[in-house]
Amino acid sequence: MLPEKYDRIEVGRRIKRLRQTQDITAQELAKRSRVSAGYLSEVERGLSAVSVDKLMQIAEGLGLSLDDLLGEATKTVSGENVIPIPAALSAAADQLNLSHRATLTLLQGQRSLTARRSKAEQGEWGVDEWIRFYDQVKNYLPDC
Amino acid sequence: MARLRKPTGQDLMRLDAIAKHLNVKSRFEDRSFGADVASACLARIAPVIDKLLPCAGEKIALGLGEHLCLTFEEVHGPHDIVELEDRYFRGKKEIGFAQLRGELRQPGVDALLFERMNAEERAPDRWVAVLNLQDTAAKAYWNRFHELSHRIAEPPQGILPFRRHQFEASNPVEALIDSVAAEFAFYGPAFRPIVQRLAMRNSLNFEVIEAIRDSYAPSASLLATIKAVVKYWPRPAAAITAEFRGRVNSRDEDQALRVTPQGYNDAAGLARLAFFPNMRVPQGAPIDLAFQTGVAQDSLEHLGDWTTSQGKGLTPLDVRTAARRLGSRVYAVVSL
Repeated sequence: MLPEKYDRIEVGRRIKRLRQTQDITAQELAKRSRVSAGYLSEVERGLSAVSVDKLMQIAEGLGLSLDDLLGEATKTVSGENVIPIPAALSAAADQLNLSHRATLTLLQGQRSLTARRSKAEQGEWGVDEWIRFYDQVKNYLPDC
Repeated sequence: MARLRKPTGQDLMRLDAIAKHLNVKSRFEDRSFGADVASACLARIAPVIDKLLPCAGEKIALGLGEHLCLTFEEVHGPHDIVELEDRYFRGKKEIGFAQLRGELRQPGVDALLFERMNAEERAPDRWVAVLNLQDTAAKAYWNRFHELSHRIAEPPQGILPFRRHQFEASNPVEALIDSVAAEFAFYGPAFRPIVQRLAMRNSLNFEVIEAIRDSYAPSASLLATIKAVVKYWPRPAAAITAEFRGRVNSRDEDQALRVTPQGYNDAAGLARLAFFPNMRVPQGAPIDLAFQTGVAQDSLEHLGDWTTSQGKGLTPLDVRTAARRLGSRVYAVVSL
């Protein structure tokens, strides 16, 4: 789901700060994001309206998801937070023919493990992991 | 101490979220940021702890957990995992706990923090921190305060657009949280009087450190206790560890017993008592003897005998060094 409205100036500032923190020049980020340096400069200064596609490219250039990049700016006009569903969960839900409510419950369940203190890195779940998790918890999901 | 890596974009957003949550005006780039965050956390939580005083560290952890709706669960073996699954997953229908078994099967997982889906807002176990003590209980005390500090410093996870997963000593967010944890794990108004009472009649050595640990936080690790004792010791003092290793940039080259400074008190700064990171321990120094013989040392030495390979020397102070070898590491306290 895409944000209907966001604070353009705040997002521009955020992009600039994230870029500077990672020691990336504007030219380098523009190259990584497949946009022109002039366009990126306008986005960073909040001068240019930016499409979600372009924002996704910039987020990718910074090594972030769109959700991460927009942060608190990711709110709908009604002020509610948008809940992005990971692509792998979405694919798993399609395979399992899950309702939207059951999919969100699955996501909420996985995310209720909010932190793990470990030296080992853990990547994002793939489709198989979501299906395995579903098999473990299916008796507790709504509409199942 | 591990050198901090440069913050990633996600780190920076978490650090900003912490600053905003605590109403801290400085930013990560500012020198005062760590101290500002720790002060803001203390200002929020000190009234809660002060109501518990006088008491020791374990009771402070319980009291803070109660205040923050956070319950600690310990896993010592497979039977504890079964019990937690029964209670939370099947009993309270917390589907997140279906991940518990798989998570604890992975090597190096010290703790997991769950925010329960079906809990009332002020339920005492709305947050459940599962401490994995199957391999060692050494970090149990510190991990309690680390998890509590996450709850104190960070906004609720639901507001954050990301989740935290990995702990690395070099992670700037985790290092910040550790500095907050240090304020609560050895809470000054409760801990300082114990240290200062013993310091009146004793020099700094491991008998004193063990006595302080026994009376304040029996489950705390030796290193955490040493660092805290040094911080509140009323005379110049330093905590260091030493291990056999090579140079910073070439671990296999020029291997020797080398030090890692772990902490100093303010008085040490005034006395210019300091060690260069990774400098060699001179042969025959108490730390070297503890390493070579395995026998604990407590004796006087002259820091003018310590020099780096570039010929730089330490401030030529006469100090007392107590050193003890545990495994491949020597723990030492150096004091004036």
